[in-house]
Amino acid sequence: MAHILIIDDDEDFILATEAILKAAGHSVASANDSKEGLEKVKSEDPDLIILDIMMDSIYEGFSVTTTLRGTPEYMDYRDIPVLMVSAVKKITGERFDIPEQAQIAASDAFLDKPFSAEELNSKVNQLLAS
Amino acid sequence: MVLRTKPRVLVIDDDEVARESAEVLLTRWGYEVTLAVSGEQGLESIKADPPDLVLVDLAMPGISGQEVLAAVQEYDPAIICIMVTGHATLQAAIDAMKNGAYDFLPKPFSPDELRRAVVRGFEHRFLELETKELREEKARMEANFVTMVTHQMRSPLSAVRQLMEVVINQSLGPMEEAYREIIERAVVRLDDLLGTINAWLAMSRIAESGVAERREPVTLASIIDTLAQRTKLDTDTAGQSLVVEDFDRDQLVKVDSESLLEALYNITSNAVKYNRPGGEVRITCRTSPGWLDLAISDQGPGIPEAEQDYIFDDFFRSKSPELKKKPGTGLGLSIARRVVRAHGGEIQVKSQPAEGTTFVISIPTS
Repeated sequence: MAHILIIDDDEDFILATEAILKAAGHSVASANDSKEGLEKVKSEDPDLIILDIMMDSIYEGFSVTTTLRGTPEYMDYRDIPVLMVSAVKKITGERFDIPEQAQIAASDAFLDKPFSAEELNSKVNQLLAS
Repeated sequence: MVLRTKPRVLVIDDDEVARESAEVLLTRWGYEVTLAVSGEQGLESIKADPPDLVLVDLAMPGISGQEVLAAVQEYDPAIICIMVTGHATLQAAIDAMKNGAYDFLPKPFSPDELRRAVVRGFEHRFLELETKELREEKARMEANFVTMVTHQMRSPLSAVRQLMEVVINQSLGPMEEAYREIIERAVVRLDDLLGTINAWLAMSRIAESGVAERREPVTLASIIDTLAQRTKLDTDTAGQSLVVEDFDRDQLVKVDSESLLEALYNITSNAVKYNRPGGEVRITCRTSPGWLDLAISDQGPGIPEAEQDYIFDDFFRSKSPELKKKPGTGLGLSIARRVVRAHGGEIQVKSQPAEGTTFVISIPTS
């Protein structure tokens, strides 16, 4: 069983996701924005991060992966798999859809909000196994 | 505001003295001045580097002031034109104003008269540009309104749906069996609502974004294969079969793949939804010079004839008891028609009671 960090500005999403993950036997920590999220990456050293893309700004989630994957400070954490989630898949006028952008931003997987417990568990297991 | 730091005036006059005195005065007042000795030169200068205001002599050999005015109006009506002439006739003045000149300045004019005309002209231009910006801003807001509202609704609904998932999954411990049906019904309604909101978003995106401008040549195979792949998942789940008839895989079609696929998938998913149990969904492509006809058929109960004229309307749902009980937003076909029409094509339905329904999508290939 794994330790999972959820970074999301929506408390209800955290509550729901946490319940599903705990039912599957995982332990969960959470953060409400990218800054707190990056701090918790260090203090919690999770096995997996579930990261909301749209928080205060449209692409706030991407700043987490940029820091995580690209700065020396996070060298020890750069290989933690990241599952990005978003309630929005398209933004008018943008060249790439959100799931494509998530790929570009080095996520390891993407889930549409809302997701079923089954979808979540299968993605989480897949990422933890790899 | 598109004005640069220094407001720019173009003086077009075949009379050297008039040209140079205008240059001296306008430069002194802080304008950046360009000179042209003829209508031809003036027009070249406007196209090469558009000014904010044009001071143009009405009577010149070659291209006349009237013609310059007409050309400026066509090129960018926001450029202010002030007509100047030595032979001020009432008729010439009326004609110029009618053709969009902002003001009329009879020669000889005093520096004060010139200044007043130019200052007024610039005030007008500022105002026009400001209005134009406000108008554009308003249009942007209006165009994005549906998207903004639907996003606002989507977030809390998604959160509610996610919380319900905890109950369905019984993550916090077993649920009383008596509540299960209630919860499951609530979830179905929520999913319907989310589906409707997604369809709205899809529709507003089609209205907002230039489908026609995004068309680019792709092979017919790339469209049909993707469609078949997505549809196959649905026919498999429903215990139906999917048949894709042979087609010219290398045929190029100029389409916006994303929106067209959305439109076609709306139709194939309808075909699966309304098909008879174990029925077949068939996709047929025929090309004739310049056109692609794509037919999608099911073997369902058919669409009542009286309803066939309305099925493409926004939010239309069948009144037939058999069809009505299937979930739906009433937007799938209207989205499909919008997309097909944005491609310069048309969509038609042929349906026989008890035999099935065929949708035929015809779009130009280039």
